Amino acid sequence: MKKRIISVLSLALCLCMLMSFAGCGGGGNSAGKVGDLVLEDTAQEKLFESARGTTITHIVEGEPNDYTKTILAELEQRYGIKVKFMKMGYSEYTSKIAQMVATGSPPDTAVMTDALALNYIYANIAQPLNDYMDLEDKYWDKDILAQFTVDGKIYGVNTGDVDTFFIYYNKTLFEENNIEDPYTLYKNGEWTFDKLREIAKKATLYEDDNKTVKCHGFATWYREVFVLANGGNIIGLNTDTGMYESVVSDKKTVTGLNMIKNLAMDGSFDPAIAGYAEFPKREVAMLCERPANVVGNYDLYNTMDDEIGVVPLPKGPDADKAYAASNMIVNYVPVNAKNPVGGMAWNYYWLRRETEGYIQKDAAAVARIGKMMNEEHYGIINGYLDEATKISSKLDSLMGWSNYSASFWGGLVNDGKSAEEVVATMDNTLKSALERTIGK
Amino acid sequence: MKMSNVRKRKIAGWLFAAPWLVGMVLLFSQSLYSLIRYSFTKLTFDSVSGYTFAPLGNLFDNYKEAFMVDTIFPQRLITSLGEMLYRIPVILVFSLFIAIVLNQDFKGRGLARGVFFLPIILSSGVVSSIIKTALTSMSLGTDSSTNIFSPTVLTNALLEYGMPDKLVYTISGMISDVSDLIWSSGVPILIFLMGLLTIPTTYYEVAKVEGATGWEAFWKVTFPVISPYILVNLIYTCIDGFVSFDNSVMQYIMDVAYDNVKYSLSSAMALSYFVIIIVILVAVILLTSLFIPYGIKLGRKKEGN
Amino acid sequence: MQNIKKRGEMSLLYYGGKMVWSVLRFIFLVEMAFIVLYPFIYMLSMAIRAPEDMYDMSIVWVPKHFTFDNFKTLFEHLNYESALFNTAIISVGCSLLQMVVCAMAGYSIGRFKSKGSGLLFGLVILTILIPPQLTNLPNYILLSDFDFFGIITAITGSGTGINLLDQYPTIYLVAALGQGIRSGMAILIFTQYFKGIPDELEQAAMIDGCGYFKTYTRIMVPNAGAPSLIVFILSMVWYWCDYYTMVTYFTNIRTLSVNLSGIKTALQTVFQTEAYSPYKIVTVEQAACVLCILPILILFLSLQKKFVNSIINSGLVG
Repeated sequence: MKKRIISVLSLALCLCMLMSFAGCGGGGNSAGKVGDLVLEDTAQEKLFESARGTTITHIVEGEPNDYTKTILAELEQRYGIKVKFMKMGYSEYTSKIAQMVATGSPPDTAVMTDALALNYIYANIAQPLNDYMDLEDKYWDKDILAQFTVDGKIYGVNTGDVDTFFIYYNKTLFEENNIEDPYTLYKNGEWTFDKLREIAKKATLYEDDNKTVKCHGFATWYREVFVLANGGNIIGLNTDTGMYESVVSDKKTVTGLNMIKNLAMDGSFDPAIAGYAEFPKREVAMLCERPANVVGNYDLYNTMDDEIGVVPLPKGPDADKAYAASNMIVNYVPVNAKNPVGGMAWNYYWLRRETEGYIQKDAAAVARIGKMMNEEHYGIINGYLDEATKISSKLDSLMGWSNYSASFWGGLVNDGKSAEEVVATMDNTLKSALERTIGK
Repeated sequence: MKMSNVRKRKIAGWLFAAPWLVGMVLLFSQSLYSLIRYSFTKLTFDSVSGYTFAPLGNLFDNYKEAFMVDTIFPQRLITSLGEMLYRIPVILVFSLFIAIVLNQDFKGRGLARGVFFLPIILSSGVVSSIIKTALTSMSLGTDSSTNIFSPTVLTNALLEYGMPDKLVYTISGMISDVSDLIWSSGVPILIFLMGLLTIPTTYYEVAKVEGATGWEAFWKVTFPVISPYILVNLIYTCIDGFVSFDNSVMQYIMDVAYDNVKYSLSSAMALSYFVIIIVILVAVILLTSLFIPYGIKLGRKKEGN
Repeated sequence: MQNIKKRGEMSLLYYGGKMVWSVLRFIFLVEMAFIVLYPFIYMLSMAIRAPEDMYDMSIVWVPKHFTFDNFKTLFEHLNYESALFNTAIISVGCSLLQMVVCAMAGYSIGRFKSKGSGLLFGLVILTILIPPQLTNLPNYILLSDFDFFGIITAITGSGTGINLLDQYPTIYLVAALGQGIRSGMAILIFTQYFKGIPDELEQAAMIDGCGYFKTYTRIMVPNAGAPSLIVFILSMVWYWCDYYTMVTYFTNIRTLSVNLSGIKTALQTVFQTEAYSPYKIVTVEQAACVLCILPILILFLSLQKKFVNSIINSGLVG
C-alpha cells in the first residue's frame, strides 16, 4: 500500500514535468481590421524610419481589446513595426520594471503616472526622449511635456486623454432649489472662486433641524485642485535651475489652500467623503472629478436619473490664464530598452489615433466616446482643454508623503488652520522629502 | 578500512541534508549577500551595465537614513512590535484551544475541522488582499451594515453615546483585529491538531485511572507531547505576523523599493528589521523554554509509558 | 448504599456537565465558524449575483438575480484554462518535490545531533524569515544570468550565464533544492516530527541490519504520513496562492494568482468599449476569486480527512 502511494506520487511528478515541457506559453498579437482613418505624414514620422521592420515589446493588462488590435494592425501598416505584448498587471509592472531595466529587458514603452514621475526620472528608470522627438510637431502637448521635463530633457509624452478635473453638478437639484446654474455663470464670465464658494454654500442642504447636513455642496478627493486652478503648485519645477523645489509658500498656492479650507469651514465640503457614491444619491451637489472616473468607473450618466451638468473649475484670482488641473499619465521609454525608436513610434501613433479618431468620426472611436457621455459635455470638456494650460501636481511622488499628508490636509480642512500657518510648518518638511526623493 | 559508526552516522546526516544545503549555497546565500550588498552601497540603474553600486559616503548611510531621517519606518516598527506582543500569545492559546476542541469526539467533527482549516487558503496571496480590502472598507455599492468587520456602525453608535474617542478607536481596532487573529490561526490549528492526534487515548485512560483531573491530565499528558509543536507555532506566528503581506512595516519597505525605486534604502530597512525580529524571536524562545520543554537543547524526554 | 448513591449523583453531574459543555461548544464553534466562513460566503454571494443587485440595498446575501454570467466573462477574458493548467502543474510538482526534500533535511536536523544541527536549525529559521517580496530583485538578476561561480561561462564559452527565467524547470529545480516557497516551514515541521520518534524504532531497524538509507525509506517515511500530508497540503496552498515568487520567475507563463492580481484593471480595459456597470467589476472580481480558490479548496477538503486517518493508522500510536 505504501509502496503504491510512493509510485503513484512519483509518476504524478514525472507527468507534471513532462507536461510542463510540452505546454509552453507565449504572447501573441492578432491583426484586427484596418481602420479607415486618413492621416497625413508628418516630419516626426521621418524619425521612425529606422525602426521599420523591427519589433517592440509593450505591456498590456489582460487581453488586448479590439481597439488595441486595430491600432496594432495600423501601426504595422504605417511604420512597419510589429508589437509583442507582455501581459502584466499594473502592480506587477511597478514591482518588475526596475528588475527589467537592471537585466536589460524592459518593455520599449510603458506608462508613468504623476506619483511615479519624480521617482522614475531621478532613479534613471526613464530615459530622455529629446533625440527621438520633433518638438515642433503639433501633436505633442507642450503643457504636458513641460510637466515631465527636468533640466531641459523630456521624459514623458502625452498619449491622448488627460484626466482633467471638472465640476459635475446635479442640474435637477440646482433647478429645484433655485440655485444659479454654474455653466451659465461660466459662460458669462462670473465663475470665480468666491462665486463657487457662494454656490457651494447655497447647495448645502440641511434636514429639518437645520443642523444635520442632507446634501453637501461640494465634494472631491483631490484637495490640491484649487491650488492648481490658481496656477500654483506644492512642488514645482524651477525653470532656471531645471530642478524641482518646494513652492508651497507661493501666494498662488496659499490662496488655493485657503479656498479648500474655507469650503470645509463653511460646511459645504466634508473631507471624509470622496463624493462618488454620494453624488448619485443626492447627498452631494457638486462633484469635482475627472471624466474618466465619472464615466468609466462610476458610470454616472447611466445610473443617475437626475440630469448632470458639467463646468470647468473657476479661474483662480491670482491665475494669469485658465488652468486645467489634471492627473497626468504619460508614456515613457525605459532605460536599456532595446528599441526606443520603435517605442516612441507606438506612443506617437497612439496619440494621433486618439486625437484624430474622433474628429474624423472614425466609427470605433465615436462608438467608444459616444456611448459614454453626451456630445454637449464632450464639447465643453474638449473646448476647455483646448484653451487651458494643463498642470499637475507631483506631490504623491514624494517619499514619505503619506505620513505628512494627514497633518497637512488635516490641519487645513479638519482643524481650520489658515493656509499660512500650515505652510510655514510644511516648507522644511517638503524640502527634505524632496531631497530624499531626488537623491541629492 | 571500515569507518567508525560515529563517522558513518555523521556522513549520513550530512547526506540527507545535502540537497537543501546545495540549494542554500546556490540560491539563498547569493540573495542574502545581494541584499546585504545593496544596503551598504547605493544601487543605481544605468544604460551601460543595467545596474551599478555606487559607494556611500559613510557605509551606514542607508541605515542612518532608515532610522534617523525617515519618520515612517521607526514609527511603524514600534507599532508592529507592540501588536506582536498580544498577537502571539492570543493566537497560540486560541489555536491550541480550538485544536483540543476539534480533537474531541463529537458529531460533525469532520465538518468542523474542514471549516477551521479554510483560513489557511486565505492566509496568503492575492485573494486574501482582495477579500480583506473588500471586507474592511466601504466598497462601491455595499452598505456598511453588511460589513460586520468594518466597525463603523459600532464606532458611530459608541461615539454618540458619549464614549471617549480614544477608547472607541481602541475597541474598534481590537474588533477588526479579532477577525484577523482568527483568520491567522489556520496553520497553528493544523499543526497543533497533528500533535494532539499523536497522543494515544491510552495515555488519558492511564491518567484517569491514576486519579488525575482533566486539568492535570492536560499538563501531564497533552502539554509535554505537543511542546515541540508549540515551538513551531511560535516561530510561525511570530514570523508570519512580522513579514506577512499586510504588515505595515513590510508594506512600507516594499513601497520604498517599488514606488520610490530606492532598493538600497529598502534593503537596509529590511535587514535591520530582520535582525530585530531574530533578536526578539530568540529572546522569546529562550524565555519560554524555561517553562516549556521544547527539546532543543534538552534531550527529548518521553512521558513514562 | 452510600457509594451507589454517590455514584448516582456523580453521573448526574457528569452527564449534566457534559451536556452543558456540548451546547457551549456548539455555540462557540458556530460563532467562530461564521467569522471564519464570512469571507467565503461574501465571495460566493457576490460572484453569483447580477450587477444590478449591487445597489439594491435590500439584498444582503441572497441575490434576486442569480447568474453565472460573471464566470462566463472570466473564461473569455482571463485565460482561465491555461492559467489553471499552469498553476496546477507548478503547484503539484513543486509541492511533491518540496515534501521529499524537506523531509530529508528535517530528518537530518531532527535526528542526527551534532554541533552542526544547531547552526542548521538557525539557518532554517533564517530562510523562513526572509520573505520572497524582498529577494525579488536579487533573485531576478541572479536567475536571468545564472552563472555558478564562473563554471557555466567556462563551459558554454559565451560571455554570459544562462537565462533561467520564464521556464518551468527552474521552479522545479528550486523546489528540489529545498528552496521552494516557505520551505523553511516544511523543514521545521519535519524536524519537530522526527524528533518525537522514539529511538527504539531506529535501533530496532539497525539491529535488523538496515543501513541509514534503508532505515529512512522503510521505517521513517511510512511513519511520517501525517507531516508529509500536511506539508503537501500547505505547499499546495502556498504555491497555488503565491504571487511574488511566480511574478519573479515567470513573465509569460501566467498562473491564477498573477492573473487575479491584474484583474481589476484588465476588466476596466475590456469594458472600455461597452457601457457597463462599475458594479460588474466587483461581482466579476469576486467570481474570479471563487474560481481561483475552488480547485485548491476541493483538494484541501478532500485531503484533510485522509490526514487525520493516516495519523491514527500510522502505527506510531497505541
